[in-house]
Amino acid sequence: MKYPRISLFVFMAVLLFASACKTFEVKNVNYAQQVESVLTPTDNGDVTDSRYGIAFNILPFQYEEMKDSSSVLVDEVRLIRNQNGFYFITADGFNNVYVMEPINSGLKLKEKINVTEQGLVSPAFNLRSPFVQLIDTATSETFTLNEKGIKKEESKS
Amino acid sequence: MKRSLNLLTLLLLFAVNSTALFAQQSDYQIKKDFENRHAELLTNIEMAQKVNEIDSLIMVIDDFKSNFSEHSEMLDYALYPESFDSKVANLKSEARSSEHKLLIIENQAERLSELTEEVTRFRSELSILNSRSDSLRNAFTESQESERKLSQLVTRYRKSVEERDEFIFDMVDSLFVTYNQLAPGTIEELSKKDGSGTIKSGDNPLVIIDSILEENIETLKAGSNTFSTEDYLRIYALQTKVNDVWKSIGDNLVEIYGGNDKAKWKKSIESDLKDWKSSASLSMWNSLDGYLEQKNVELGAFDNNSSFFKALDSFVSKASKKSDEEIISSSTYEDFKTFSEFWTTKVMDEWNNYLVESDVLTASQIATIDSKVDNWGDNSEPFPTSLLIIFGIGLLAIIGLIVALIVK
Repeated sequence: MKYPRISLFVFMAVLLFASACKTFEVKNVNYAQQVESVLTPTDNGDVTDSRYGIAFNILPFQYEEMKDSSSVLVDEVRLIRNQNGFYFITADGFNNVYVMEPINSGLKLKEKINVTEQGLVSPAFNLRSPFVQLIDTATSETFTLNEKGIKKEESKS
Repeated sequence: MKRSLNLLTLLLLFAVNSTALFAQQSDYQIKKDFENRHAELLTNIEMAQKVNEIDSLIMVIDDFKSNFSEHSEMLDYALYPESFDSKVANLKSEARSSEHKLLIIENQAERLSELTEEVTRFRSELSILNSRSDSLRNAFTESQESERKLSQLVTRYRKSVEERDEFIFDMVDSLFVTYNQLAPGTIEELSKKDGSGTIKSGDNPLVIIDSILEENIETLKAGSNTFSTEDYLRIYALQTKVNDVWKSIGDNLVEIYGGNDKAKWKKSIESDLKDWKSSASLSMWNSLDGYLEQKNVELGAFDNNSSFFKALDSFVSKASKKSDEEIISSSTYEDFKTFSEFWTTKVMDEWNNYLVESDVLTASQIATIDSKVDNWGDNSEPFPTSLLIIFGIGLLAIIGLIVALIVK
């Protein structure tokens, strides 16, 4: 009877310690990037943001949009991160904004926000916390976005 | 004028369009716009050629700052590690620095303009002095007048050359003050301005200097029978001064006024300077040697500053030692009087400035010799006759007293 009691005690202690370790977290982290990054893809489609330390390939996004990843068809990739840590990615010619969640060595689609059917001509992101503003500077269309979608369409010309 | 209008246009366009530009712009575009305008203003500051252009640019910078100030927080972030304020401060600092440089250049251009006027005055005054000296020289060369009248002509000629030399002394001083203090960058600016041929050839300081050199070489050749040792010393001092000033400002003058013939000007003036130096040096040492020989001061051979000082020092030291060895007689006293007269009236008085200015003797060398001359004077002074009589009477009285005591 004596040993089972000790084993139970040790098991409880380890469980308590492990759970204490797991629950250590810091709240209210602001991931927001104040100004969007405008990235030019290489011939392979790689984009690198040296200031914010992220690099990925644009071809999967391009394929998702245009069903074509044989060559790079976008001139500039627009990228901004909101305060919750989601990346908002789009490019000229895209109909959608891709909200991506950082995962282990990757980006996982959180939301694909459809903003137009004609393709963005000259998109740009502004951070307007807690939202991200998307402007098509060519048409003056603006959209207020968060990771769930379009909050409210402010104006349309 | 055109540049000022461009700046004004830039200012107006910037003021009118800036609000509209930001209406539907992305923050990234505002940042890019800020950076582009900053770079544009920096270029305008660098290209500005007048102080009033910089003044206009400072106003544009103020507007630039106020137009972007509403985005200062975003720009602080976007421009990291720089900031909105530091970028604007950088522009203002560059503008002030450029304004300071342009002020110096404008002041110096103004001074240069004044100097050009002065050079014109120098040229006409020098021409008058030269023609007066030449006509006097011709007059006494061709004169069949009495010896007394001829002597008067020669004296007037020498006086005229002296006046001309004094004028050149002042002129090279003025040139030196102006051209030796040119700020960095000014020479290049002035070279662009005056090398283009906007300056009249007669007002070109290089022409004036060249004519001074040629005139002085000619004067030395022509004046061998009329100049005194003092005249030669003055001419030697003048050439030393012109030579020194040329070493200091010659490169600047050639750079500014040499135009396409910079190397030619430099070579020509330096060659004339060399000729003048050798001619003035030979004439001066010969004249000095002749003067001392005439005064029966046997210094021994000398033909440069160093050997002249050694000859003087050795002469005075030996004479002083010889005087010291004479107890009663004072045969060297006459030698001392002759030398002392030369030393006091000529070296210490009439020639002193020229000797020191031309480094024939330095001030410390003159002081050394002067001290030895004083010592020589003390050693060579004859025993006073009155003291000899008193000494003789005293001696006779003592002998008389001794004789009287023996007789008693």
